[in-house]
Amino acid sequence: MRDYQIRKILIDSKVKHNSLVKEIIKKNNNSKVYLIDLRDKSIISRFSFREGKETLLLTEFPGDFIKPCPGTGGGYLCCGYLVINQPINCPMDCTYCILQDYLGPSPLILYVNFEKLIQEIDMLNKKADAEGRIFRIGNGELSDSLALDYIGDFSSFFIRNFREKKNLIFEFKTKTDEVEKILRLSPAENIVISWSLNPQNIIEKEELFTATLERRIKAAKLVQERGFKVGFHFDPLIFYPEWQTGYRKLIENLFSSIDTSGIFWISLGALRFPSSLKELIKKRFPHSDIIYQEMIRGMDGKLRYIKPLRIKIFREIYRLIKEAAPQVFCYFCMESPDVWEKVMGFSPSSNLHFQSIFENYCKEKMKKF
Amino acid sequence: MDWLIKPQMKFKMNLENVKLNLIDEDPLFRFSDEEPAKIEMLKRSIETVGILKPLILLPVAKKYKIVDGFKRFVVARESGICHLPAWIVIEKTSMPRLLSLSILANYRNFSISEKARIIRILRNLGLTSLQILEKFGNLIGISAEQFDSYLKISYYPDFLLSYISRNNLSLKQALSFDGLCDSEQKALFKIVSSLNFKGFDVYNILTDLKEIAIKEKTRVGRLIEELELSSLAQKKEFTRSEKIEKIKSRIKERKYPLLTKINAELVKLKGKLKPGKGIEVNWDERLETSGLKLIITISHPQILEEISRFLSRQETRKILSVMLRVYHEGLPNKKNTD
Repeated sequence: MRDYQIRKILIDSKVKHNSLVKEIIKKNNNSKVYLIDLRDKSIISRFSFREGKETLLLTEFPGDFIKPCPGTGGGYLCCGYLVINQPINCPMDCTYCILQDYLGPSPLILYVNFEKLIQEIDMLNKKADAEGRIFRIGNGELSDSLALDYIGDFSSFFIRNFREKKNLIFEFKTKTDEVEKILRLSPAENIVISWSLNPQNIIEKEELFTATLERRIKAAKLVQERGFKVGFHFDPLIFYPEWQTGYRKLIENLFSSIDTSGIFWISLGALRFPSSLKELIKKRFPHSDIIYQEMIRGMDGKLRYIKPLRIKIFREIYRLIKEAAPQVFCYFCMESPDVWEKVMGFSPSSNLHFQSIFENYCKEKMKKF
Repeated sequence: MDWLIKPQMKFKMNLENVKLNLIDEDPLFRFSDEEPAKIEMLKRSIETVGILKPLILLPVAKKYKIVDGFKRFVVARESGICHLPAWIVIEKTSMPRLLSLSILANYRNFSISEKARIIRILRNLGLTSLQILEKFGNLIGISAEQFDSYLKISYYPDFLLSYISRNNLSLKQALSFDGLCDSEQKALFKIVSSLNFKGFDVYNILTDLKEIAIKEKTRVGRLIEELELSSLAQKKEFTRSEKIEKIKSRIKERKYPLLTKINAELVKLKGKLKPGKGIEVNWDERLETSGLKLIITISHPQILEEISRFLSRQETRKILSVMLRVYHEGLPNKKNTD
């Protein structure tokens, strides 16, 4: 059950003979199809946010698909994640989404030169193997990993191409319940399907067109029962008057359905955004009041809740998680060492240290699977 | 549509010498900013060389309405001039077309308030937003992206438009009055104009007040009352800059209640430290850096002993550890973050 749909497909004339393009058009016969010449850039700069999210551009990507996660600076710790920029943009519309600021009103983009991506994945695996390392990688940074799965077999592509790459852990990150295609495949130890979670009242108000909490948890339960590893991202944690009750119920709900031994990781991150996004949120989502809480400009220039408040929220969520799942691996996304220290009782000393802690954990976990 | 602006737009007009008392003192359109300095210069010019640029007038029931030249008319009247040179529009034409003539006769980079007044006139003449943008956007220098902003400003009362032009507010700053009701605009106008706030301060305090109102689910007007901003602006015992600082700080305290309380507590604790000469205890008021700062200035060797005594005191360590806890975790009272 999706609340969004592709109404228009734009095909870059360069890829009109690509077999995937033909397949996508065939599967989406309700969408209007246009052949375009992308040398005229103005074609893709005429969209409103809504139109962009209902338009799919099929083209090819000349650059590198795999890049380090941009993370953040200013002394906040980052985990050394790698991102695959495929696809770009998201059909759902979260009020706090950075993509609206980062990409602007643009169409959804799917690069159909998957063969180039396969080469990059192979090269990355060889590098990781040569260095005796494990890299975590995902395609849920510039999009939702599964939101476009209904128009093509993208999840199958990633699972097929990562299954044998034992030095790489691939993560799907989603707010959907699009797991139908995943459920048809046999699980692999290095594939993680993750959900971003928030209380249902926040989902309704701030995560527009996404799956309900119930549907997300149900989907997670299904993939877990199929044998896949799951992950959860309590990110962005949002402060609102009833946040304690909201998150407590969410965590109770989650752990009453999910087997905690099959959780690969759980991340925590509090709401944060650049000030340019604040103006955009005011304009696009006047009903949203999450940006008006007590926020300061952090050391990376982004607006974030004041530290005592973040610590209070994290402590509570972390406590609830650990009560239900003491063994689960938790980490912070873009947090300062003193927040780690105050909440988890320890802190990585640097980004490199953080990466090595994470990597060692992954190696151990992979051995056990 | 006869009022379409065309590249070679021409108006049928006759040049005549018109008796001043036949001219209606209410102009047909009035969108120019009042600029007393310019009026003074115009007065001197007219008294020296007379009126060089004819007015543009529209005959209406045996009298004339001013299409262009209101300032010249006023100065001439004050200077006792009886006859004025004027172009008389002799064709039957629409009001929007006459307005375009008035705009062209005054052609320059219009101010934000002038553009807003032109939009208001066109709205009152019954044009839709789309018609205004399509037919007048280029003429008055408003792009499609900016149009909504100017449209909002066109609903501002006159005193606010005058304030915006007088204080040279940017479009973003001018827009900060949007979303406020008449009484709120009036109250804030009184405060910012009486204290001659700079544009960026106007923007910041208005934005903060609006954000606090959304967060607290109240009205800006209510906040102005609760924070006693109007009475503070009138207080005679403070200087202008003191009043501005106090207004800003009251708003900041309301916007950041927890941060304010924590910083106040830290100041209180710091007061108990009594560090002595050469030592200063400081912190990042955002509470974002990793801890407190101890700044030591050594001006002579004896200070080292003083520092050592201060640091080894049990009381110092006790207070510093409380300060650190407050800095990281806030106040012990649960209510502060609930």
